[in-house]
Amino acid sequence: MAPPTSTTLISPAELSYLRSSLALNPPIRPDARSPTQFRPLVAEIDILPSTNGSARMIWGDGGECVVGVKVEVEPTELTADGKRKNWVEIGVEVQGQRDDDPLGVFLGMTVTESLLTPSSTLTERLAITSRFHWKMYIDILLITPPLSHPGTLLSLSTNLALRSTRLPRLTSEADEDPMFDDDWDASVPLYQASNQLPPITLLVLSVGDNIFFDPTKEELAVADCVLAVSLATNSAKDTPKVIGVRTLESGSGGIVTTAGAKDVGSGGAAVEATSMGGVKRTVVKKIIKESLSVGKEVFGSLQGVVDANH
Amino acid sequence: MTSLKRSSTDSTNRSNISSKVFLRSSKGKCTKVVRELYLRQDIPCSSQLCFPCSADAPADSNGRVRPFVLSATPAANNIFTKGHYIVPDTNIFLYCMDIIEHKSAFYDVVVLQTVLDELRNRSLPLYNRLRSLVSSQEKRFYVFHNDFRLETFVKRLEGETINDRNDRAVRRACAWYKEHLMDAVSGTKSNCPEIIMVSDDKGNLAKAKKEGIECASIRDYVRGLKNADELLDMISAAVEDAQAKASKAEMLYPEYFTMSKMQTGVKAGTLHQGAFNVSPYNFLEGSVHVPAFDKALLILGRENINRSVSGDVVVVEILPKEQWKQPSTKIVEEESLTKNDNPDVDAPEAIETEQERKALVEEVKKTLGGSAEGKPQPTARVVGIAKRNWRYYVGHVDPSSASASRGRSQQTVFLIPMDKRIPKIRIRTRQASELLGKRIVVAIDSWDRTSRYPVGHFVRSLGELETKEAETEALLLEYDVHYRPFPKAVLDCLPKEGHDWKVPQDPNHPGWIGRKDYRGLLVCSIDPPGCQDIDDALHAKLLPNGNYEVGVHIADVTHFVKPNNPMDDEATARGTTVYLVDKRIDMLPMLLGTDLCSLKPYVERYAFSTIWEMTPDAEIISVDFTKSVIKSREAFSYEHAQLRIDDESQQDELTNGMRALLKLSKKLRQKRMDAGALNLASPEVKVEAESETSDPIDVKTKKLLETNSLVEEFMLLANTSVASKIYEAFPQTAMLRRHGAPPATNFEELQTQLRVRKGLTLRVDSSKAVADSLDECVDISEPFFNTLVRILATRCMLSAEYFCSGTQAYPEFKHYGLASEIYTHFTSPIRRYADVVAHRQLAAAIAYEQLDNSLHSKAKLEAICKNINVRHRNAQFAGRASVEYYVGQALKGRVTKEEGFIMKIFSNGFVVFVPRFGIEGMIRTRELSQGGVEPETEFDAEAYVLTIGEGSEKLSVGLFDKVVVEVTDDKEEKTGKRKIKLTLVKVGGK
Repeated sequence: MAPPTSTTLISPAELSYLRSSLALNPPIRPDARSPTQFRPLVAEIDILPSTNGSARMIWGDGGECVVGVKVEVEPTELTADGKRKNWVEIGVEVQGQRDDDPLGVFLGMTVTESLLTPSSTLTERLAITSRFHWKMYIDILLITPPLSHPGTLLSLSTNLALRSTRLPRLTSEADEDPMFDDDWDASVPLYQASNQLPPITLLVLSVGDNIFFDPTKEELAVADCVLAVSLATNSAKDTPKVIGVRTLESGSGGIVTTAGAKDVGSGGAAVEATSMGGVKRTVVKKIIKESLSVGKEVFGSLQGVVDANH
Repeated sequence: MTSLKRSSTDSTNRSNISSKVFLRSSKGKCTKVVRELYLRQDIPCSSQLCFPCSADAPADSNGRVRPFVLSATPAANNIFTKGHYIVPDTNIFLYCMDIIEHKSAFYDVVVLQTVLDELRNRSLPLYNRLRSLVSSQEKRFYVFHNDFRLETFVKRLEGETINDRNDRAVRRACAWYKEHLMDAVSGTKSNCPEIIMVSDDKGNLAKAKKEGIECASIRDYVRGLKNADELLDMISAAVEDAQAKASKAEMLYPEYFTMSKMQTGVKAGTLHQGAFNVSPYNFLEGSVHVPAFDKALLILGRENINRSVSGDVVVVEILPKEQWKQPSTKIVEEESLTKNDNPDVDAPEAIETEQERKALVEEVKKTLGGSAEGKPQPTARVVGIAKRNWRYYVGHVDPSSASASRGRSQQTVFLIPMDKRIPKIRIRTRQASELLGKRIVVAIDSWDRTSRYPVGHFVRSLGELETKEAETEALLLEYDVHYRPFPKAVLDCLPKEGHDWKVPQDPNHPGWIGRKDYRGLLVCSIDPPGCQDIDDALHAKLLPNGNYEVGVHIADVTHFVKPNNPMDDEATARGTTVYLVDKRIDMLPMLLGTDLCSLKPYVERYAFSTIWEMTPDAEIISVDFTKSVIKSREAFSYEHAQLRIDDESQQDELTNGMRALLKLSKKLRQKRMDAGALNLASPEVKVEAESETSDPIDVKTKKLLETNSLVEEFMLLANTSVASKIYEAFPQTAMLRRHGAPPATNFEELQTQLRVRKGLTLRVDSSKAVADSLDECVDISEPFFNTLVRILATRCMLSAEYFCSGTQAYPEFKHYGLASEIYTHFTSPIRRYADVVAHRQLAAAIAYEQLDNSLHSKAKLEAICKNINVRHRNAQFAGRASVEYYVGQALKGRVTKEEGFIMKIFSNGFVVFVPRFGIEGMIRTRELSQGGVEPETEFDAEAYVLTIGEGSEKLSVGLFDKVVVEVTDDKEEKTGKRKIKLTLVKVGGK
């Protein structure tokens, strides 16, 4: 399910044109970006004084997102297998949508998935003592209705919010009921500079042999395949590693085009090639490889935002 | 990616807004709190010199501007010779409040908001004291809200501790004040007052000097005052402790657990929390009652008691079972064991001296040797203090600890508190020679791990020991009775007409709305002789149908005391009137208590009446409550009323009414007794005083007449009727009184004692059983024995308490002693606050008036109940202590031989009760032999027999035995109290 694309109204001719130009070598994107180039982004952190951490991000297409992180002390009840259950709660609210709208739930799931992969270490950081932990609430507000798939936007904003999150400093000893320093300035950042950073998720799509980062909704409509690649890294300088890949439904992609080809009767070789659906292994390999370098760049930019604010 | 670097202070960098971020932890939660401050420039400096401030000082919602408090010509002292305003920092208020309150100095003080807030966080009682100082305006204290004023607001710098920030705020405010006042007086002829910062923090003082702020330490400042010696003594020891601490290394006491560790433990049930009590017979034995155990936990020895003072709320840890013990059977007094202690602390100390340890070891031996009778009780040790309940303590300086030769130089002396359960307190003083032989008030400041005794400071002197004024004030202080005159705000609530107030004659006057006219009824009051605050009056009338109409009329106090005004607040705080032998500390101002409310004879008064219709057999047919106007025909004393009833020639209606009341009261009493009401006894004596000087001359036991019980029965009936009514109207918030059934374990010891010594059984399964078996506890040869048992039985019971009906289930409402299902106090609103609440609730229940909101709130009522329960108990203690003191005074210089009974027995002494004077006193075995040497004793704990001496001088005494004692008065060295001293003359009757 890719909700934003379902509302895209593009004629078969436009789809066909778009697809052909993306499949060219070198490809031509409608907004003339290079395949790995992001649309301009504006970001700031620490904008909500009463939260533990917060961030705001404005996407090039006008999508705007505010993330607030709050924490609360909660007694720990370990499940039988020692898993930390329900330590993080993520809520997504889309302005103008009902709060039981599936879109919010769906988007929340995608963020949760990458955050809570075993290698993300987020929940470990929330432990206070053996009997208490921080329950974390991440509230994401999408202010403008998304024009393209908001996955990347949410993921990056959440990343920034978490990086600005600070936890009260514990003053009591190991097995006592927790007590905290009342000085906010003495609070401890959830993610130390030299430590592992919260994961991000990037959307990558493929058309033929070409891959594209930060796709627009039109590009999503003609993709062969859309992957959400989750990346984690120890620091902004290191090359990240992939911690998860998930396919997203690739909109109308080749199938519509094929159907369109029949209707219009102007099938081209490129169109025919994808009518089979699917994606080549070399393309997936390329996606992973490119993600690493693009990811490093993105982590670097996020670091820039964080540095600029401190 | 662009980072939008909008500085986070963007919205807050406007100069008049500042925000503050901190974390608030409570109940295990931790919340980030953001406070925005809007800084103003119109907060006045409040100096009468300052014209600009007075011009733009903001007005309140009524358009009034607060008057400026700081004097235009403030006082100077010998060191700071220019007139000045004083700006103390927090520590000064924390440790030197007693000086600050002193009348001779510290006028024109600027209390900074920073300091006030910090004080509130550190000590609420001190904060309240400071608040009342400020509001009294006598000493010209002004609270300057420096944190809200733009020029004096100080933002916490990065890495700055909150203390440093606050110190900086104080310095900033001082600097601003100086500057500001300079500006204000420039161009006028007035002198600019100096601003002096008083602090104890050396760092702060040094910084202030550097910044050019006039400053001084508290000692330096006080040295310049006239009565420096006295004031210097009043500085808390805590101020110097910081410096002295470094020099001493040896820790005597175990360290307390951290707060969080204690809380965790208490929550998890591994530690227990409760109020710490010290045994009156053994100062090394304390007990803590905790919810988890039926019996109180014992705490033995100094190390386990670990610096707790009686009254503190402590956290304890249970000791392993091998260390459980029985409560001691020995009298251990601090005085006898520690008299050689040195008050100066230079010499290293041990927590437990050799002697103390010996006393404890003997204890242990006994427990191990004893049979299984009486299982050992769980023992515990104190691991931390949840809340100190230190108050002022009254006592006298131990003469042996002070050396007069040292003149006016500072020395450390011991203060021996009047309350035996409080340990000696070390105080430093320059006026040792003056303080000897005086009653003085001290406060405990701290109790360090390194010090065997707590350290305190002198507060004030009450006067010579054994003068009436000093002793009375001492016991009022000891029992925390509010005895200061009523403040002006309270007196302002009284009716304007004063003593000329009268019941309005015009029946259309608002005072008459909802009131019945009972002026025609033949009402009279019966009270103790000389009673001025007459709460109640009665009448009885034969109805045509052969039944009786009986009325109890209670003073309508709530007509004058409206809820939530200053008078009501004061009465809530006082809770009760306290009766001392020669003095009464009123709950309500005199005008109300003894005149306007008092149901005096021959004048019309507002009343709250309860009217019953009763059959001649005292069966109640109906009950009615109403506000009324009555006119009492006569105010009788008990004796007078008795005489009148007994005099057959008196056949007027009033007397016949009283006869009817007496007849009905006897039936009511019988019914109550049948239901299982207890007839308990407490030793009551009366001190006969000389009418002129009110010096005590003789002691008599109180005589009870039939008329006493007449009044009592109808008051009980009224209280019960009102209780049902208000409970029906306000099931959740009725003010009631209950008396819990005592747990059977309370009686265990007495039961055993009666069985072993007298072969009697005491059944305790119900109040009826207790009442019946008490009747059977008689010794034909000894008529007083029954009373003695009743006194002892009373001590086994719980005390009655006020409560709010919503906090207990209906069966718990029961009044055990009265065998009544429900009970309240309604009949003495002049002297008890509970009655005032009951009056308001009853008035609302009969739709006379709206119930005030505060009486709808369970939480508020609970707070009221808690307070009046404490006040009530203290008032009783104070009254008893006063009687005790006066009995001592009455017997001064006399020697009499009296019969007495042994009511408690220890392995090294016994307690004798002398019915003639209603006193009890201790006789120690060592007093029985010549030369004060401890004689050979043998104590049979199971038979309650103590055998003293050997051979021909062998003497054996048992519990309940009758003895003859010589009663003399004696000044107790320990407490400085004149007390009765008993000496054994012989065992057996006279």
